[in-house]
Amino acid sequence: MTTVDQPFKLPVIRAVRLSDFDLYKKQPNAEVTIEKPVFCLIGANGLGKSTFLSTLNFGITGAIPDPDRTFRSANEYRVEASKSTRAKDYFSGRISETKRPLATVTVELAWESTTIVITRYLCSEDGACRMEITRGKDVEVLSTESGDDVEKGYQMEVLRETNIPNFAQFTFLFHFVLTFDEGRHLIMWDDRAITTALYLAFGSDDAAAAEAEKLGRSMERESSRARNVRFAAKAVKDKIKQLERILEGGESDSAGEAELIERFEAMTKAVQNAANMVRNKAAEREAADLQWADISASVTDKQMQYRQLFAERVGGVNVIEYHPAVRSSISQDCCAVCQTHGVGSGIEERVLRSECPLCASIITQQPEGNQILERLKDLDAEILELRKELENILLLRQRLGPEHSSAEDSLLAARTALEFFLEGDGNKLSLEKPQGSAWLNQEVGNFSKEYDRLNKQAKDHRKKRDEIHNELRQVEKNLRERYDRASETFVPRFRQLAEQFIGLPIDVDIEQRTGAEAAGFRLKLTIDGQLRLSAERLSESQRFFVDIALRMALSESITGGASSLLIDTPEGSLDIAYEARAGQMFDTFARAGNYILMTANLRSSELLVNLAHLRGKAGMSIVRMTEWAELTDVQAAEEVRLDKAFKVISDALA
Amino acid sequence: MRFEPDSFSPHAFFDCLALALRAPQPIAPFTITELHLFAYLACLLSVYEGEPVADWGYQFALTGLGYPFSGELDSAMQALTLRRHIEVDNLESVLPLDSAALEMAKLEEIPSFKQRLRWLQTSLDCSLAMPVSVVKSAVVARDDLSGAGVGGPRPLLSNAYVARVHGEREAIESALGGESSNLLAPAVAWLSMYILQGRELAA
Repeated sequence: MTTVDQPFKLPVIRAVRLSDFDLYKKQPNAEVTIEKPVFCLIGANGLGKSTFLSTLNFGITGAIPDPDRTFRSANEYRVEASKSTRAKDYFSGRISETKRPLATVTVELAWESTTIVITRYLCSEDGACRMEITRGKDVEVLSTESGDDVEKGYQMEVLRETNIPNFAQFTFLFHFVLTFDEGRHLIMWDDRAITTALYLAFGSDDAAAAEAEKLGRSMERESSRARNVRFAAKAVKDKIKQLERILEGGESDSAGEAELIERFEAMTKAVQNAANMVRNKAAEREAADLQWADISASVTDKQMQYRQLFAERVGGVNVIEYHPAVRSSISQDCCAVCQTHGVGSGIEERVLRSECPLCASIITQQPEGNQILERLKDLDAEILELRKELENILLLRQRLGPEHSSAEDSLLAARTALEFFLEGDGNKLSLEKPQGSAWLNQEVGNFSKEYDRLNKQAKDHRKKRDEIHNELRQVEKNLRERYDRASETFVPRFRQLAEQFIGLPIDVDIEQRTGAEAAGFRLKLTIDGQLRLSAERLSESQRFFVDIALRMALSESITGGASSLLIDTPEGSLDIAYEARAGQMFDTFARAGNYILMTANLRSSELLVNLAHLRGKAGMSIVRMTEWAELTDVQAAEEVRLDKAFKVISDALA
Repeated sequence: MRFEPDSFSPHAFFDCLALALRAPQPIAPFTITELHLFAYLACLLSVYEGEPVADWGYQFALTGLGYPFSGELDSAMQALTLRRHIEVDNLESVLPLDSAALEMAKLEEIPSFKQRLRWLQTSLDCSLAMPVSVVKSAVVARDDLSGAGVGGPRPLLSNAYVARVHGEREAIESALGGESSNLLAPAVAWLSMYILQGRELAA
């Protein structure tokens, strides 16, 4: 068992290679090597910078970061985020249909004496398909082609190298702590996520985080069960009261009807949702069909042009010269039609004048052979390009077919369930009637017994919840003690980083959440002596950069070596006055031996200039995405302005 | 002579020129029948490699004599004769003339023509790997041609036959140890398989 004295060893990202990733049309096999502490991918909006970071994260964790991520536990998050359908949906529209089975990402991860190169298919069920592990001179290769379970092998190796107890926690660290992406998730204000991060950073042993999560979830479950049972008991009590009122004077069962109406509405909603899905899929199919028809028509048109042009080339004027009758007349000096001798030279002259020797018509001159050949080549290239598009649309139609059928099945199931309900319970919606006092008295007796049983159950659940809570409090107490000791380095480091940006005294403390059903911790942030209880009490850029500072300090506490932060266009609505400060904060983190992989657009350029000044050529590298993707007019305009900014950044690096 | 675009096939024009020009020395020149036969074999090889039949650019029919024949290829042969790229002698041999190589070089610049050379060349290589008469027997042994002389002319390459070709490709690749960039080995194996099947049926 590892303790915080033997912290986790997070990998450093050394290289990222994409293959058949045709979102980057001009560079589908893009490759970046990360040798300097700060690596920045720069380009106009919409070129795929965020996609690059998400794909990198997918390469490392096998899961696409959820932009709307909510956190309950590392395991639950991992299960949801690593579903193959999520990756398929994410890359739909980013990778073309023909490249979906081929597209891969390869990431090189390095520890002190081990390197792992992992390759994953992006849109396939297969996940990790190849892994190369290098330890000193030993190289081991696993591949699905050789029948190896690469995913399992990779996860085992990563856990062995990092000392992290389970892969769900490794995924959590990358998605929630080490990545600040387009989702703009703020760990500072997410009590559940920060609690898990604190356990990983300061927990008494490597299983503390998992244990606390498990206890917390068990406690929640017991609380929820107690609430549900109490709710059921209350419903039974209401029922008893109604029956008693009916016994006294007669009254319809409005509460039962309300419940039935609620069920009816839920089922109706399910039918509507399923119908919407069917409509959406049908619309997608229709759009694909139209595209198919449109491109097919273009192919036919181009083929016709091609044939006409080719025929024109083959059947041009110079063919007259080779007509058997003309050839015979010239060579024999005797007309092949009327047998007159000595007419050969005259026929030859007329041919040279592009005149038909028989009817004296002037034959239209055809364009130069080379011009036709060039046009044929162009048409041929256009036809090939259109065929590729057709192939793509065909694959899209093949995918949409089963998806549409599946949506129709769901609709049928939802409709059947509704019909079944309407024929059964739903039929009672306004039919429940008193059936005589003897029956009602018996019903009251039955419901009273049920009420007692439910009450006892609720009490048992509450008791169990309190027992778990006490156990959890002990784990939390241990964390609190460990945090207090570790805060001698963690808190000053956070202050240093955050104050560099915010320019005001800042402090942070953890607070145990109190209450019978509360567990875990929350962070208490104080800026300039004033407690900030919610994210709304900070400006947007303060929120972002304080959160990034927190991640930096946490990652340093979590790992025993260097850590890598992935930051996607961090500037937000960054005030110009803060840009130099943001650069300073990033530089301080990098100077401690850490790595930053960031993306930036025009709005980040001032931050980058400042960072470049501080880092110099040896400490920072910049890659432009202009050569990766085809630019729209708007993007091209932004790139023109980026050119100037890029030059300033390059000068600052020099 | 004038060409109607609808009945003219640029692909047939190219194939005819390529086959006449590249017929291997030991068996050159091809006769007209042989030229149709090896064009058909090239078409089969493209289908074997998963290309749609419709993309070949022209069609074949089974003649009453039991050989593949293409009307478009025949028109292309006339066009090439008129342009003095080839000539057909009294023995029905198709002979390339001086201008043929230059025309071929020009047409090879068009990517979709160049792509066809793979199948045309493999078809020609088959004539080196096995005698022309054996290639003929192999092609004639195929189901599509087995009704030679019996049912009269009919179109070749039905959907059912194309599906069978794809199935046979899997069997041959598996026997040869996987997909290969060299098409000749599976092509020869494929033809041999038909010869054997033909012999078994005859026995």
